[in-house]
Amino acid sequence: MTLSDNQPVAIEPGEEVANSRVEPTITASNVSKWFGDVVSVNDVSLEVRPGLTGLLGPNGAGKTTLLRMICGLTRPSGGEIKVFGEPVRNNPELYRRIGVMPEHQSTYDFMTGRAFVELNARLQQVPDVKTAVARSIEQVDMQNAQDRSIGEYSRGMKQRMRLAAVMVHDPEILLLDEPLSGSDPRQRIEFQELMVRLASEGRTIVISSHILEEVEAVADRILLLVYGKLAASGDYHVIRQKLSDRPYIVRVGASDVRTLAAGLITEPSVESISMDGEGHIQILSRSVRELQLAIPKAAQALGIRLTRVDPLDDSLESVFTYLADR
Amino acid sequence: MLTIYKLSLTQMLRPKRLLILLFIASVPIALSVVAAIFPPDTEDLVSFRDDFLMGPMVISAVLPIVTVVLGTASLGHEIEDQTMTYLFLKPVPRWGIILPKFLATITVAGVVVIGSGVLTTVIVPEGSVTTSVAAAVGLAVGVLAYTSIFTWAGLMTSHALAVGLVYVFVWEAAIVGFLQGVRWLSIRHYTEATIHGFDEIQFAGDTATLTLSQALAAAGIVVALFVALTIRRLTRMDVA
Repeated sequence: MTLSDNQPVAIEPGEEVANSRVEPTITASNVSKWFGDVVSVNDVSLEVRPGLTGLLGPNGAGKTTLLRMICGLTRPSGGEIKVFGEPVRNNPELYRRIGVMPEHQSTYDFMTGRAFVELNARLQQVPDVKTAVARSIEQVDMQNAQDRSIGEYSRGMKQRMRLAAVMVHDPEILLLDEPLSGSDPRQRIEFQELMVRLASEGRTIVISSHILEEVEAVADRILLLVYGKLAASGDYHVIRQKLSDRPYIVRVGASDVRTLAAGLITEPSVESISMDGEGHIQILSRSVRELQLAIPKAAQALGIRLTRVDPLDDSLESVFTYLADR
Repeated sequence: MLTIYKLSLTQMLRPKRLLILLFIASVPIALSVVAAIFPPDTEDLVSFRDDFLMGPMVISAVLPIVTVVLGTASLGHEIEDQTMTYLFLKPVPRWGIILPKFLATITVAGVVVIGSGVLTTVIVPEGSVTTSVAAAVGLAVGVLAYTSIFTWAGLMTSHALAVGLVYVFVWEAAIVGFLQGVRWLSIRHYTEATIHGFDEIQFAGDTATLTLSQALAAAGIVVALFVALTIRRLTRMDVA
């Protein structure tokens, strides 16, 4: 796997054979966006087909800008974006088929949740507003709070009601920018189940996130953006596997870290060990599973009490840094 | 469009802002009540109405303040707080967003400003139906022209309110007051000339540079120009 300019990580031939037979609903060709001297999205080309696609990248990677360009809120500085084969910019009729949930949390806080969803239904010219609103609110399990003012909602509740508003016209494409922000674990699971169900009905769903775990449970495909470039695209599990040789750093605290370090340095899973300024050791390893077994084994053999074992860089950002540096 | 019109009306009729605007609009009405209770000579009364209440207060203060506050907020606030995305991401052309918002602003500003002006002319003795009708038509012209300018300004800058107040109190009140030749570029004078056109007694000495038809034509050009500029801007702009 390599990462070079405009060369996203390739998926193996045949990995997406079944999906590639379906026409892409969203295509981006050499799309760039810059704000003054700052390049936010750099020559990105991609295709999104029906199913659930995760748009991943650390904060500032250009995910939101790319989504804004896909839904026509922002004009690309270069390149072309098409949705259902049509340019989306200044093409409002396309919004009958698209639902977009922007990253920002702003709503009409003076309205009740139901009034907000109803407003969206009316603007979408939904034929049976009452039924559509009730169905959409039920999908996000907000019936009990629908008559409360949005200004009184928690962040998670507001997100769910915004999602209800986005889905009220039953769109074929859903573009959701950080939709799980502010949600609790139960709501996440419900959201993931809902998305899987909607995707199984043939919809195209793009979910952006900077948290790998939010997307890995549901996404069929992922698009990895790093520094505005498409670093990888394809099946999530294939990419994850290809990252398996990425070095991990684990921080270990113990009653005698120096003796533990001496005991661990001979382990094949350990590449190097260093001391940090807080009396812990940091172990670099490419074989985390073996290391997970080696640390307690060595501690037990040496009579050392472990006080902490923390993975230091299991974040998406470190994955991207690794990809970008290769 | 009716949905956006209703939404915009609801947004504008937020109690705090509306109360402040109603307070401003009520000042000339309160003074006209005082004039009705303690009436001066007839000649002084007409002068008090035109040269103190209608001119400096209703036309030069209430009209621009109400329209600048509502006009700059009608699109500007929604772009600033990002709720505009909910309208942009709907199957509605950009002009279909602007038009109902513009009409809602005119509705609220019109009721407040025209209500203030007409009540003032009705309450002050020596008024007539013609006086009140002239005030209503003239102020309607002013509301339309100012609102179109300030709605556009709300899209162009996040400091639209300050820019609008500078326009009103520096350009119109100070510069145009001294340089009669640039009255062509003053909404205040379109308003006064329209009122004078319908009621020759009002602003008799003040409108020599503009006839009624000139004032209406100029106001019409301003409205058409700034509505077109607003649509153009909203069509081209990126939204966060």
